[in-house]
Amino acid sequence: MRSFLHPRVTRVTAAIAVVAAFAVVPVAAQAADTDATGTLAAGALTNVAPVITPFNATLTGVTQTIQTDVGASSVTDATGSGAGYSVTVSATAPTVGGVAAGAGTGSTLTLTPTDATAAAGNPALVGPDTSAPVALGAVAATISNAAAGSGQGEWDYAAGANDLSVVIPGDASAGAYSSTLTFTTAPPVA
Amino acid sequence: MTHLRRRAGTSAVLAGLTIAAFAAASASAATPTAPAPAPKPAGPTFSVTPVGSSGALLLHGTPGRVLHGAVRVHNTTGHTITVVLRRADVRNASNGNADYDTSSGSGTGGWLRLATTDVRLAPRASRDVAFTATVPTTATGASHYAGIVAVDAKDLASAAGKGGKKRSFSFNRVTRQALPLTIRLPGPLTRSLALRSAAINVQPVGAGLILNLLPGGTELIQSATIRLRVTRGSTVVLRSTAGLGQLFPGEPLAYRIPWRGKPTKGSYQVSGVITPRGAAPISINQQVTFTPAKAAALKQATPALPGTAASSSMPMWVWIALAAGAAGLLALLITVWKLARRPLRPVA
Repeated sequence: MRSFLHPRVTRVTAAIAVVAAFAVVPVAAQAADTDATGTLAAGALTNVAPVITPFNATLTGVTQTIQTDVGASSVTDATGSGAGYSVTVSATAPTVGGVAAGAGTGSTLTLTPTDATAAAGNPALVGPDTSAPVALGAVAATISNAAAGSGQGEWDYAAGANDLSVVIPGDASAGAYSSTLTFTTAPPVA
Repeated sequence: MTHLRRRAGTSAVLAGLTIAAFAAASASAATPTAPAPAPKPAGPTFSVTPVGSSGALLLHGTPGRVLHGAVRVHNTTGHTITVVLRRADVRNASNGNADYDTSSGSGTGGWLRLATTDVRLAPRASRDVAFTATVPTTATGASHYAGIVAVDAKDLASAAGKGGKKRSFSFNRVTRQALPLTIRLPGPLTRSLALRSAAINVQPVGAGLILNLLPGGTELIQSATIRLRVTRGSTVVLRSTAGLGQLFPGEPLAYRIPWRGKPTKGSYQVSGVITPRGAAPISINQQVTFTPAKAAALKQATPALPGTAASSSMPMWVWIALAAGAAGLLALLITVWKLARRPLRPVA
């Protein structure tokens, strides 16, 4: 019995193996040809400007510097291009009720940018550079710059205590001043 | 006798508390205050991207032709918004890169016409906005730079509020997205950079060395590095290494290097090199003079005392008042404690 079954079992097993091999080959071939397809559409380059803490101060008759807090901000490069970008800031001369005061405080705002850190969930390693403290005025100043191949994904700029300095001239007029800071994000020019 | 001691103790405590209260009151009255901490800003409300390309816009043409393009504006919020589009001239930001100026339209930005400038968008909706660029027949040079700037109308309205009933020194913020546009005409592409002058200038924030630069040629310079030092005799008074972003031809740039400390009257020697990418380097070797008039202006303009932090610092006299109040309170508490510990004598 043992000697009769052994060659038969062997032959049957071999036959099944051959048939199975024929069955597996096309399956394997099919698996190799099946690609996961899909398109990742380009997103946008966006930014969120920081909120700047207002302050109250008393004129003293001599020029004084007041420092105030700059809130958190962020920039997101979801374009997938790796082209880089820049963030610039300009500021209007402080005015009282929308009117430039007799003795204003033009060209007296100095912003110290904080460093960018990758947001949670952004694996990019090289972020945008931040500039040294910049004087703000009608002509914008670059506060952050991502060279080509850097700065992809979302990057956060931490809030900075006393990061905006405002020089109040000794002869400034009293009043409720306001200044508009414009934060512009743009890809590099081609 | 016990009654008298108790009265003395109570009076001492009241006096101490009064002193402390006066000290605290004067401190709070003199401190520059921050009315409210800055809240965390909300996310972006919109995005703007080129149609048919990514990143920057690039159009090729010839003088006299009308070029066509489009941008896509997208509402990223769950409510209806209006995005304002503006054409912009490109000038150099103070440390390089494009500064998008929407005020005049006297440059290449004036060639642009947008199909619409106010784009009202339903939640999560997008809209394509066409534009044309009419190249003047007199246009020369191979490259011309402009931009299309997008702003949330709500930001603009808030900034135009003129302060309203605000009682503090306040700041409006405007978030802009810009798309640069290059219009390329036939002609050779060249780059150059010139240093027109160097000078020490005085601002309320202090003195600084100003380098007046003028990019030339027919194409932008991608970046530049500045390495220089300022000496008086054999003493190096200022050393600076800095990088500049993109520089646009025909647009002047006044790059300011803050002076550490205060310059004194007399001449300084500035030496170093400016290396623009793709253009000839510039050697700097010239004198700058800090005149008596500038020294007087600096003395008038800059603060005599170090900066005051609006959020935390207080004038020195306030600290002295607080310390005096605390010392008085401590002395009175010790007196009360000693009186309380003294053994009671029977009344005769």
